[in-house]
Amino acid sequence: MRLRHCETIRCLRALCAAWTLVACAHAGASLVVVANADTPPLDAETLQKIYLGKVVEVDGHPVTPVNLAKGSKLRRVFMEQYMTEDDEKYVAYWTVRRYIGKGIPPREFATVEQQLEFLRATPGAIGYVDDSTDLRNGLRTILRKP
Amino acid sequence: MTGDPDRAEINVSGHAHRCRRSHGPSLVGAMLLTLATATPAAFAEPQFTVSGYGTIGYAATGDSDVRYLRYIDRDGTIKADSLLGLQLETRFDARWSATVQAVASAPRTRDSGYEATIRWAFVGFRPRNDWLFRGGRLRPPVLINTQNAEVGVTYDVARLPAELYTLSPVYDFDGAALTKTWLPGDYEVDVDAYWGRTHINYRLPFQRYGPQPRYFPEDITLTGLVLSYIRGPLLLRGGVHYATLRAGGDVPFNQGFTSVTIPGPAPIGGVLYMPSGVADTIGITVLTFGADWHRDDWRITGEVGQRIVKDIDFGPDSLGAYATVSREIGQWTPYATYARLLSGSRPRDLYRTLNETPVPLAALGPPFFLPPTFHQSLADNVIAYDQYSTMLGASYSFSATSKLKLEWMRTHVGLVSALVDADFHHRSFNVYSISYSFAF
Repeated sequence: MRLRHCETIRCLRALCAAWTLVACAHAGASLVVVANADTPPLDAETLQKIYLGKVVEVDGHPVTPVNLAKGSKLRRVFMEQYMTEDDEKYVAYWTVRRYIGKGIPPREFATVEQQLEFLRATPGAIGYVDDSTDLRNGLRTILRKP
Repeated sequence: MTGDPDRAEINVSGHAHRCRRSHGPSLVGAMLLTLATATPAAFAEPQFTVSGYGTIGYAATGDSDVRYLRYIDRDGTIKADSLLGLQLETRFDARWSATVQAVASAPRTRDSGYEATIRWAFVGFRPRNDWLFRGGRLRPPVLINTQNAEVGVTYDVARLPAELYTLSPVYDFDGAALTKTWLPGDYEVDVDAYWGRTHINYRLPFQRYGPQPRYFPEDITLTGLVLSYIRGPLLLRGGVHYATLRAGGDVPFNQGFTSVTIPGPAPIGGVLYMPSGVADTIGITVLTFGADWHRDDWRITGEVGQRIVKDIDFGPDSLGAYATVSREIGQWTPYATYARLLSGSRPRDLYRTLNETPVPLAALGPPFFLPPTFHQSLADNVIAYDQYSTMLGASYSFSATSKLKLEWMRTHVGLVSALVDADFHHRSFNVYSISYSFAF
């Protein structure tokens, strides 16, 4: 009975995640990975490794990933689309990595605006925004999932 | 959830009794000076992050005449598992960072009271993807969960099996560590090397006689090499560690025992054992191997560790191992663990011999004036282990950083166990634990 209940919860979660993605797509809110203009383009695998702390430089350029705060809708979409994992496991991963002394999780920003400000000011900084966001000067899109 | 994030539950390609010491401030000071003078200012300003973790835990035995792991007895205790840690991290740029961690917990130099100490203070330098250098106060990467042992939220068991996780009394050291990583494709290979020094107070076993409990000061130089292989859900990890112990006080290490035959018929005459020889240093080799594998909701973790002591007869020469099987069912993760710890034949034989040999009556008078319990007092100093435990428990994960744990453990002591403060042999006892762990 409990197992069935858990499966139901899982299905609901999957449906919610799928709904979020669909909602984003319908709203024209596809997510793109953006970075300081100095940052070279990335492939999806490298991006995952950057956000897991396994890659800290790309083609000799130091990179600094940042996140939006936990609970953010964009962050949830980023985890689903680009990290292919749910946020809870991502947080658990960094909790271990932090406390074995092998890294510090990406800095978190409460708002997209704060994130963009940091990205503009920091060479190698990488973040993500809704693709309708006006990047203006100092930023570029480095990865977009179809 | 596991101690090594490299065997990540993040599913991406290429994946993913101890005591305390008094540290001098010099290394930490030098470390901070290095930071102040050598870090490039790639960030507009250093980024500071405060994080922390803690556990509130209660444990009690079901037996009145046993005390386990210093604190756990029938009256129950919060000291065995409860602690609070605060960590300050500074990121100077993509390559340089510094970390300081303070922990408030039960003390490691004595049994009474509490203490708050700096457990970590290191500078990290990651010049490239495949190299990580750290210098300062660090934890040795002995077993899979050694470095994050105090962060209860990072594993599901209520308490890491003492049969193995007491293998090293060294909690941290002042020195350096480097990590080299290879990410050739769908697997990852890491080599961790470290070297450093520390000062600890080693808690000697307490059973029946003598002042209790006793802490023996030791200066330790340690070094080690750990190789990890991660492929998908599989982690394999092996390590070789070597420690040189030097007596930190005025009292050197006793090397062994010698026997004197007192002439005369028993019980007047007989064999009398006396401590003999001293050693200024002891070399201890530790070999470890561990594996962790998970598929879907199931996880199997097993580790084995051997402590090899050749310089003294009654050192902690031992072999320990455990295996844990767990299954994630929704937010619950029930688990079962079996763990075993057994000393080498030399300390066990020595303990048995001392314990079973009566002091000759002639030695109770002049010139020896020994107490009739003399041999047993000597036996109490032998660091010997013969125990196994079965744990059944479950964790309930409220979130990735909040976990409730419940556990029933039954431990059987054979000949003797230095982890038990009692005259306890060939019997079993229960330990009931409940704890709540969190991180922020």
